[in-house]
Amino acid sequence: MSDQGATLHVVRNSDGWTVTGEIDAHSAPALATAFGDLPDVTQLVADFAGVTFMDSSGLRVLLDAAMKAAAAGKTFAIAHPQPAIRRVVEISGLTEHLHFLD
Amino acid sequence: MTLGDGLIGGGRVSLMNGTSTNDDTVDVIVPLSPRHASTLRTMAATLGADTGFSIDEIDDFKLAITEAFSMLVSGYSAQRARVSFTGLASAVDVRMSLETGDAISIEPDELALAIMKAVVDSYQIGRNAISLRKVAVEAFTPGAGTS
Repeated sequence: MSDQGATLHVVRNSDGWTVTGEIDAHSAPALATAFGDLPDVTQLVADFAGVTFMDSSGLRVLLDAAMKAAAAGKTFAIAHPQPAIRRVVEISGLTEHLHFLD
Repeated sequence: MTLGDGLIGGGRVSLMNGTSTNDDTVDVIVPLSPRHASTLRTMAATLGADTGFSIDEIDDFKLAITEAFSMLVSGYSAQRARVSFTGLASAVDVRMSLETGDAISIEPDELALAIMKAVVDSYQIGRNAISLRKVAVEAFTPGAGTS
């Protein structure tokens, strides 16, 4: 039972992160930890092609990352989101704060 | 957890640990821990598909279940939740409460509420439970559009 719950993998690369799995209250802390160390580039990209689910916990992590990036003079974008991920951002009214790269 | 045979919307389901509730209700009891949200999402996806939800509706249903469960976890993480899925003709009702049936007091944040409002047809945070209904409106009808 110890490994039950949403599975999330985050790999850091040269311009950001590649994220796969599901983001909910169980897995969001791991994403927040991964986003805590910003790569040394001005345009940060989180590749979400492999993210199949995200709830409000994940949105909060993304908002925090975007704000942290802005405070450091960087941009933060979500690349290749699946429709379910794009939708949760849109229905939350956060499209002005979270930017997509297709 | 042991589910009985049969499909929601197609007749008799609702066996959990050998205990029958009513014919189209599936009861699940899970620890109130965030890691068990994925268990409920799996169940929601299965029951949503059986009810005729579209892919988008299933995604919305999973999101609603997760948000509702997170609300309950935030206040009662040491307890267990009873989650009841009741299949209707083209909808699923969900009732989420403490296993004990005790009263709940939840103060959900605005983001979670905004999501709930957008993805279900109705919801209520009541004195003893969080209830929601998801209706299938985009359901695929076999044979529709063919001659």
